[in-house]
This record gives sequence, C-alpha cells and structure tokens, in this order.
Amino acid sequence: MTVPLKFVVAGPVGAGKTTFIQTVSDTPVIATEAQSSEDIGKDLTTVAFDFGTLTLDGQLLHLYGTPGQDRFDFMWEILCEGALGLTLLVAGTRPQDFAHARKILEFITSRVAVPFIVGVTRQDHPQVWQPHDIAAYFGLPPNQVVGLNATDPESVRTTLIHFLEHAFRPSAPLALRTKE
Amino acid sequence: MAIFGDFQDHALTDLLKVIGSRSGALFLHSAYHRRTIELSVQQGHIEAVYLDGFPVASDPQRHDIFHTLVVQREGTFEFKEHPQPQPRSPITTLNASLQAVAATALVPEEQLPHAETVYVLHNVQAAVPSSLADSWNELRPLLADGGSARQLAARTPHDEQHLRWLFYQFRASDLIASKRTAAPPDAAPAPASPSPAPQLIHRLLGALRRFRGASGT
Repeated sequence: MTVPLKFVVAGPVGAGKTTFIQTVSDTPVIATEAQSSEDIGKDLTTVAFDFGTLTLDGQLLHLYGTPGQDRFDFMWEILCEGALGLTLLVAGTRPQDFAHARKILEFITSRVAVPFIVGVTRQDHPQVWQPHDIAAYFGLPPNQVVGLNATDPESVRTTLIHFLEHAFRPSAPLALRTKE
Repeated sequence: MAIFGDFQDHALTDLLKVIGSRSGALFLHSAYHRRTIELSVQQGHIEAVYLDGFPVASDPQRHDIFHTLVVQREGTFEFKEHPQPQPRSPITTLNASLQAVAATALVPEEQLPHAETVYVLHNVQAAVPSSLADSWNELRPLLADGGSARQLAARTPHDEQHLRWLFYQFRASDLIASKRTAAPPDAAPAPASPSPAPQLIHRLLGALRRFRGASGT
C-alpha cells in the first residue's frame, strides 16, 4: 500500500479553493463550511479545511484546501509540511485580494520548503487579471503562475500537470523541489 | 490584458512593478479630489502627470498629487498599454519622486506582511528612499541571514508593528524579498524526507495526461 501524498490548495477567501478540490476529487469532498460572519461575497466559508482524494495510477493524493482568513494561519504551515506541493489560488477578478494572497504565499514559503505554483482563477470572465501580470505582482517568474477555471475538470488537471512539470523538471532550482 | 482595481487595495509602487517595462497610461479615476490623474509611463518610467487631461508641469503640484495619491488611496485604476511605445526621454523620470513619497505613507493593516514571514536581502543595489535610510542601515545586517518582524522585534528597539511597516516599505523598494523554502531560523532542523522519485512524478503526469486525452483535449 503506497503512502498517500499531500497536496495543498491555499489562497484568500473566494479564490476557488473548495471548488478546485470538488472539481477534481474522486470522492465526495469533506467541506467544513459555516455561515460567514463577514461580507465575503458568498454565504459560506471554510472554517477548518476541505479534504478530497485523487488517485493517479494507483497513487493516492490527499487534497487539502486551507481556510483563507488570517486567524487560521497556524493551519497553513501545518498543512504544507511534508506536502508534495502547494497551489496558491487567487481570483483574477478580485484584485482587492492580491495583497492578502501575497501575504499568505510569503508566509508559507518562507517557513516551509514546499514547491508551489500560483493559479489565477476565473479566467473565463471577460475582465480578469492575466497570469503574467499576477506573476509581476508576486515577483515570480511567469511560468510559475497559470490561469485556470476551477469549475472545469480539464483546467484543474492541466494546472496539476503544470505544477508537476514545473516543480520537478530535472533542471528545476533546488528551491522549487522538495526537501532531499 | 486587464490591470484594474480599487486604488485603496494597491500601492502605486506595486502597480508600477506590474507594469514593469511597458508603456502606456495609468489612469487613477477620482483619485485626486475626485479628479482623474493620468500617469504617462514609458518603458516603466513615469514621464508625465496629467490632471483631468491637462499636463502638470510644476514640481510642487506633482508632489502634492503624489502625496494625495499615496495617503488617501481613493478611486479606481486601470492601465492602458500603448500598442507602440514612444521613445522615452532619458532624463525625465518621476519614479524616484513617487518612491520618496510612498516610503512615508501609512499602510492598511491587512496589507502589511505577516509578522512571521521571513525576509532576506534582495536587490541591495536598489535605491534606498532617504526617509528609510537610517532604518535600512540598522536592519540590513540583521537581514543578511533572514529574519521576520517578530524575530527582529526581540533584537531591536522597534516594535513588531513598525517592523512590519518597514518590511513593507523595504519590499516595495525591492530591497528585500521573502525567503522562499527556508525553515524558520530558530527552529530545530526538520527531519529529512525524501523527494518524490522521478518515476513517481512520471506516473502522476502520465495519469493526468491520460485523463486529458480521454476527454478529447
């Protein structure tokens, strides 16, 4: 029996984390949501973490979606320790969330050695920030930021493919690969 | 391409980083006493300022505009790129003036870095705004191996909140960047864990690509 691998999806509230996992999970997602006490553009928000699974060629992946609020910051680091990788999602139609997304990404990646990419959701919307502009905002190379539609299974799988190709290519900098 | 948003959520210095070396016009609607400011950008350099379409030629007025933009952060912004950039003046650039004003501005709490994010020195050749020079000279040696606001608050007379603000300003000036993939300096060494074997990555990629192939893409 293979050891499950952990993959984390983080980002601000409303970025599409729960949707991302629900779209690709083989099993019903355990989504720990509650009524939001703030106006976040939707009724429910994640208050613990989302959990789904994905089996690829017999290898089980555990998918974890983190809550977005700062008061859950202790959970971001815990979930990312020992993870195969991290996708930080940010909604391309919500530039008001970019600063918080950067805060989350900087916090996690300055404390945990985890390969990551940034996913810019809502690419199906007419007015949306493009991945290369988000890359400039985050100070990342353009190939570390991708656009996606979190409701589209094909788009989510393409994002996972891009992550694996980017993070584990033989020439990838050590900083992008997991601990050895 | 779409670069847009509410000005209260973004620092001008961040917007200029996004614009990078492009040329165009950055419109700040209702940002200066409900009037529109246009910053003419050539290859990343602010070369002219317009107020409701009219050029602003005097330095004091430009300074007042920058100060108001940085402090009040009102209105919305959008960037319209020029399809064919004009040659830029080698002399005119207002970026340093803007940077000097921005380096003194208060920053909303939600935009400050996390107190435990570790930062390291980045582009030490970057210009240091004069208002930050003393703080930079003091903290630069402490950041050589990386440090967070919380850690430096224990080692300097500065409180954590002020250090978070300084780190925000240093980052905006490209002097520091977050330390990616570092364990906290004061943490015990993490137990070694093996990288995923290449064969495993190959299997995962193969399975994902087969999904894509099966769906006709």
